[in-house]
Amino acid sequence: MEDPAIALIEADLASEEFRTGCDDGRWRVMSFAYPRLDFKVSAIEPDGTATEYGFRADLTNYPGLAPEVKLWNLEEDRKPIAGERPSGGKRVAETFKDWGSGTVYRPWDRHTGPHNNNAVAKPHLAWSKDRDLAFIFEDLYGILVSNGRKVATRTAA
Amino acid sequence: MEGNGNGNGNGNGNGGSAISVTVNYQAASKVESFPRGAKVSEVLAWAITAFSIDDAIATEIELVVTGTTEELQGSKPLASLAPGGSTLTLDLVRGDIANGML
Repeated sequence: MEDPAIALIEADLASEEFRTGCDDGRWRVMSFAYPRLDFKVSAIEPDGTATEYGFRADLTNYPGLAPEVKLWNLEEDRKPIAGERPSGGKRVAETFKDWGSGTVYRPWDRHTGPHNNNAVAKPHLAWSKDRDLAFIFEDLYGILVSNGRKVATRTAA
Repeated sequence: MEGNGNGNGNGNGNGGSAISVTVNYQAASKVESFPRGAKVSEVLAWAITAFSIDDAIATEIELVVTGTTEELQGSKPLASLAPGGSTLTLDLVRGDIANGML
């Protein structure tokens, strides 16, 4: 019998909100083979250059168990080295730092949530079974394009 | 997706084409009119310029509905925050980061 998580994940990936993100070029799914989801999220570098970063998610027992999401070099199937990680302000650096569990350091992540009580301290960013994948993708996208704000400000001045 | 359900449109509008958005930052407030279909990211971009926010701070801030703590994701349409209303009040705050002590 197929794992019920698969249908729930596929429904998330087919949702209007998620599809709009794909159509707008904010993110794209590279492959899905339960429980693994490989994807890329668009980003803006500190110098204003547009790029994208790869991620690998483990969605075992989704959505009851929080997703585990790692920054990942999808082309070479390995953990990124230091120079391949996103750079920018404090939030970018904190989110994509190389820490013990190797995952994205956001409260909704499976390992970051319990670490230092993050999920309890920041419930508005914590995972719950009422969330969906678009929430995670949107959170990652918002942080990855935050460098564009200062570029936009400078251009407008 | 979890909506925050905390929109603060005052309901005195008639669902017209624009929303008057007030953004509070520190002790100042600024007001601008946006189409109902405009997104939160557009208000944020305007607010960064309107408040002349420093580059280093611009990458760290987010908008929340006044009186709440849930950061608004950039793609959220303004109309969803003030259904049927013609005004919306937001606060510009430091974006949350997880407690990073390893």
